[in-house]
Amino acid sequence: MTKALDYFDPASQHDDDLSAALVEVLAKFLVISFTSDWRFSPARSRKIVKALLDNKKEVSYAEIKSHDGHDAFLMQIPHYLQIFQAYMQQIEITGEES
Amino acid sequence: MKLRTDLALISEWIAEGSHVLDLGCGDGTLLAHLHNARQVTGYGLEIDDDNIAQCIQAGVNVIHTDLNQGLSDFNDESFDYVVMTQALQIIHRPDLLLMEMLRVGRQGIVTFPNFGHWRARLSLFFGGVMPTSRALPSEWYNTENIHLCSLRDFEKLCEMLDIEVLQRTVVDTKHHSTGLMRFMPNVFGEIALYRFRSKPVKRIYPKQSL
Repeated sequence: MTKALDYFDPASQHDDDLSAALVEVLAKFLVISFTSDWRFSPARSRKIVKALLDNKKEVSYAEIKSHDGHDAFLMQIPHYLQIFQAYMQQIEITGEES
Repeated sequence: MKLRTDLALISEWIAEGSHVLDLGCGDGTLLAHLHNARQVTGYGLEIDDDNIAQCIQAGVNVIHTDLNQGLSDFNDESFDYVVMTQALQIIHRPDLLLMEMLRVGRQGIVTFPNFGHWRARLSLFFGGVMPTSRALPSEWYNTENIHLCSLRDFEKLCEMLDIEVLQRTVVDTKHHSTGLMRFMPNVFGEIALYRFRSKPVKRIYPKQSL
């Protein structure tokens, strides 16, 4: 599983251009990064955000201040919970409308 | 809910269906209004965690960004308008950010408190102390404002940066405009609103084909 994740490269079939790889996406995105995460650093999350911005896709990005290394995403950090909750509530509302 | 009057004035300046970047977007009020009333798309940039959560709650696309780092995540001319309300005076280098605004957007819109207002002048001239007012509520030692300017200062900077002012309005803190303000905006205006763009480049030599 870890190996499959490590080797997954969405840009490989688009001349290593992540923006080109995301041209077709229709989904809305919420990207959350954690300042203490050395495994998937905020700088790398910003690359995903940049590729989505290049395509004018619907995206929000939040950088959560954390002290728990890569595992921060498992912790109950108030702003993380607040943002995640707000986003999930939005999904519910749009779902009811359509 | 009634929209803050400066935001209402700005939204009248923005064409329907345009793509907008809002620098220091706060809780996303302006973008949410523009989306509902004028089918505007775009993003807000914010650094405050609570504001980011509120933007997401309001369905506004928001990107965690430190405006002092510039707008390098955005391509040239990728927006119709880049808006910045009441943030110019807290930026480390307003001149560089204005250039960045006009790199990523075709037009810029800013609002800021006018330091040339008569109360500020009187306070410094007769009182000998840094002015505080309705538009500038904080004391010199705890204000976030580090680059205050008057209307004339801003227009001089625009001239220097080859920025053309397209529209200017001054209002008071209740966001009303009076005849007196229109007559002497740099003395009676408390808050200034500007819409601007880069001056068309004057080419001295014909453009060379490569």
